[in-house]
Amino acid sequence: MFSFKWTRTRAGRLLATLLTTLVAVGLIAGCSKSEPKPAASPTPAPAAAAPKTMKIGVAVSMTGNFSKEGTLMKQGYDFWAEKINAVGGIKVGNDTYKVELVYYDDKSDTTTSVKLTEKLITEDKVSFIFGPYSSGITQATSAISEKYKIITIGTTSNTPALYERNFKYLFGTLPLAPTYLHPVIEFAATLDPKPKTAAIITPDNLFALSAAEGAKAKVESLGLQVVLNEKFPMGAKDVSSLLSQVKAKNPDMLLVTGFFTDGTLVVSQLKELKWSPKLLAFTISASIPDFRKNLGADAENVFGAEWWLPNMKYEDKFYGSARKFADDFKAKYGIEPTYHAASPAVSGLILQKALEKAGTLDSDKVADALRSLELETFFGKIRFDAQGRNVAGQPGAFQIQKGELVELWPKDIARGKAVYPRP
Amino acid sequence: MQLQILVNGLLLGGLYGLVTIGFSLVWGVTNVVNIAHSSFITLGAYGAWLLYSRLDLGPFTSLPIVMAVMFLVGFAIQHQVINRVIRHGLVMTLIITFGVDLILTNAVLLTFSADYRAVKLPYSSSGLTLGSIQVPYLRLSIFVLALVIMALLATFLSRTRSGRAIRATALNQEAALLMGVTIDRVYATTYGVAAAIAGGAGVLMSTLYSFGPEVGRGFLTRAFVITVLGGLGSLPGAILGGVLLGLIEAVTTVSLGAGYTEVMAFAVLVAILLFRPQGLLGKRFYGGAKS
Amino acid sequence: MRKLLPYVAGAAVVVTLVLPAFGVTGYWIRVLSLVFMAVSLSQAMNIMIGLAGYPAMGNLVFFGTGAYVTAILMTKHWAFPLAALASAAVAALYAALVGLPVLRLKGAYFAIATIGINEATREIVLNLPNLTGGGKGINVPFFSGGVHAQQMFFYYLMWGLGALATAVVWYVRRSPLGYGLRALKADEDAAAVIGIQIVRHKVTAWAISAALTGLTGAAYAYWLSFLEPAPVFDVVLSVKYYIIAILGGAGTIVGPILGAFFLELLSEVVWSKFISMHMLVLGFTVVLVVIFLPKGLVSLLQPKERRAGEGRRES
Repeated sequence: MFSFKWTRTRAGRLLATLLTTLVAVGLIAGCSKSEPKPAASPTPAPAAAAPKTMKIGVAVSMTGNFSKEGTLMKQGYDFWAEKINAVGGIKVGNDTYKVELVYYDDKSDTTTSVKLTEKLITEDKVSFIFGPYSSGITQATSAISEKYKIITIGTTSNTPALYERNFKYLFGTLPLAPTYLHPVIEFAATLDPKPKTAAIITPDNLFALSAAEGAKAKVESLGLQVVLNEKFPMGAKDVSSLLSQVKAKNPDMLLVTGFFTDGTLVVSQLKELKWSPKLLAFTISASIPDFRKNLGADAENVFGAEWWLPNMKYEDKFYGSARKFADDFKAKYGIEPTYHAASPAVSGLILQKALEKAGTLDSDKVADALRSLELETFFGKIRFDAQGRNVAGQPGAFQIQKGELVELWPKDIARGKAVYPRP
Repeated sequence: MQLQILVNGLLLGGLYGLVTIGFSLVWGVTNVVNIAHSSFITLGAYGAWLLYSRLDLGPFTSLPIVMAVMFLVGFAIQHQVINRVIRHGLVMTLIITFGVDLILTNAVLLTFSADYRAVKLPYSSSGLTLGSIQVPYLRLSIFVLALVIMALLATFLSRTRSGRAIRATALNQEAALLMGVTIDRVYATTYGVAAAIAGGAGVLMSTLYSFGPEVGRGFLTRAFVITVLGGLGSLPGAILGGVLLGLIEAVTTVSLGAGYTEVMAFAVLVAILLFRPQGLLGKRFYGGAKS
Repeated sequence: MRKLLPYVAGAAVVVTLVLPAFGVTGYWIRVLSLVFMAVSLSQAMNIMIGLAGYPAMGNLVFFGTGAYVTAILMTKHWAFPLAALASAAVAALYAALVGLPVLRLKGAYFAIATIGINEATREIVLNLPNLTGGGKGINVPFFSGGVHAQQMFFYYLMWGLGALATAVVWYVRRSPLGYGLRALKADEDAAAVIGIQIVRHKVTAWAISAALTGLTGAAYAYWLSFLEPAPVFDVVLSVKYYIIAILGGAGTIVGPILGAFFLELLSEVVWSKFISMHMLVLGFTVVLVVIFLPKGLVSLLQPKERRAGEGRRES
């Protein structure tokens, strides 16, 4: 132990000097970077004066709780940017703009994300912002971008509260969270024998609670009975006691909102209890390829609802069909895309269409263009209402059959028959 | 059905206990509250996954391998890093283990990405049926393994030279020093043993959950509570505390709702700290003199 | 170095006060505001860690509490200053209430009990959706001014909070309370014997610390405009400010300020250079600082002979 201590004299002082220098450099870097610049201007630079590159800012989670989702989103954004740049860029009025994406890691932390949003706007002078992962973080970042009159397209944030603040510069690509499980419930009502009772469990989180509330309303509106509606803590490592309660009520359907690990946890712990509802459905989790990979046969016949699936029969001229998008994406990144990447990719397309229509980068005109847009894309229909919600899109329901996602609802995208009740 | 919930709690408690043994031992012997304990669990889980996916080794085969590697990792960390600051007291060691945790967790993130992994076994979810009660084999074996590891560790501590040195150091550091015990080596051995057990818990956990680089985090606060509950440095205490916490959580879930488990855990924690600060099976002198 | 300190401190005060006039970008205004917030929170912790010797690791429970009190009151149309004062009062009262039993614990046990309080409080907030919005979070009314007014308001508010907390630490250190705290830090039983009212001293210290923390939480709530339980009752956040206080040098007045500037600015520099590695780099920094500067950054300012002496003894 005593042999180490020489370091505390020489090297220690050296380190101390280094650290002090670092702080000084930090301060100087901070001031020198900022001083030549005028106070933050509330509007983006006019198109005529700008070089032919347009910056779009993305503060997304690369570390922390949302690093998985954040990484998928980044791939979606990159996919769009590379594709649009490959065809020359976006035509805006008389100019053509190449796209440059400016990325930062928000560490899955709200305070950091807000700070980075302000950095993107005031230092990097981005013209537009693509949203971070999670509704909670977007709720805080959009409050800043709204003040600066910079448009945020939220690509994975869809709780209703976000859009009830009447923001002018916030748009959400996904349909609202409460509709998430609707296709599964609508589909369930067409089954024979028709399920009569449902249990809903949800982690205690902004998005998941919204989805659970929407599910409960839908179940009740179709004349089914909700026999249990419980929440569990975010990131729970064990839900076996809660599931034992569900088992005791023996509902026909078990609807689970929440995230990836919630889904895998529920499936394996239900298996341990040797019980399954006739219909078991999840948000988010079931469509992620890791779900099937990690659970193997236990994932069979699980239902899920998703904002987008690779085999949905939608298409557009830019990406081609949903299937083609998925194949191209897979060729590039080696994984089948989920909505986490598809929504960012389509959001790029949406912005591109709005810019072409507006003919300027001016936030107000682009926001007007976004509001008047009606698009058919590989992601489905897109139309924003006055609050910036996509009111044209709708999620679809699927079931995992022999390791594949088989779309079942809405009827026009159905590719097969349900296995019901779940054996 | 009520009985099923108690069984769930009991089995979960076995895992909690296993997670806590090393944490409690390190705290009791070296007076280090080891935040990096959670990343040892994570490393163990990834080790099991790596051996399973690359070499097709099942978790029970990879358990000793991972534990041996984790022992070396833990030994090195204590010997090279934590021993340097251990004399500055609990406040400093707590921060340095936090730094170590940041490094290990993010190294895992950079190496393995944030993808969710799992070790999926053919018998993953099968189990015994006793009347209306289900006892999953994996959870049962984890519970049994927790007891076995505890027993082995107790034997190691009482029968071997290194083990006795560890106990002596925990009881009275000065006396141990006088008797010719090399304290840093004892500390490093203790830490290595703790890391090995945490890694072992990670291996077993990899069969139960889908996990990412942050998987260990959720167990750390529980390890705190259980250590206090069972008694600092007490091995049976860690298991008993784990089982009790598992049961408390299960009963709370059913009676008040799953959203109240932390409140209940905290209430129990404070009650124990106030009325029986040495924990249920702890001895007053274990680490107490140093806090 | 020590003689220069008052001048350096004075210069720092002037520079930070006039800096916004030089057209610094909104981003750096925010970064510096966060630094001042860190100063305030770690100074508040300093009262417990440095002066009383109680490692209040979960002290940010009062940050979350203060933030939520302000959020709730402002949605009920209270003005921000009143809501903020209420936050401070509620936080102080809460600290006094839980402090009576919990302050009987020492060392790591106390540290863990404070973390427990934090976790339990978060769950209570989650379980009161009608009051707090529960897991869905709560929206705080927006600051009414424009971008620039908002930046300035929160910059100077956070500056003021940092200064206030520093002044409180300075004052408490010199007050009878401070002497009492130091006595009980050295030896609690001995302090009791010489007639220091231990419980009252400890509880008062914690209430002061909580009031400052709660006030900062109030400012944060108004600043961020949206709260969820998990981010404001985050143990990692709490540990971060704890580290700032210790790395800077607990028990001193300058330490937490140094720690705040060092860690916050370092992390800005680091993450902009190493987008995917910054957490790793931060981890190494923490480890290295603890190994080489175990008494905190503040030891760099201490007289040279003492350090040289230390070196002689150890080499």
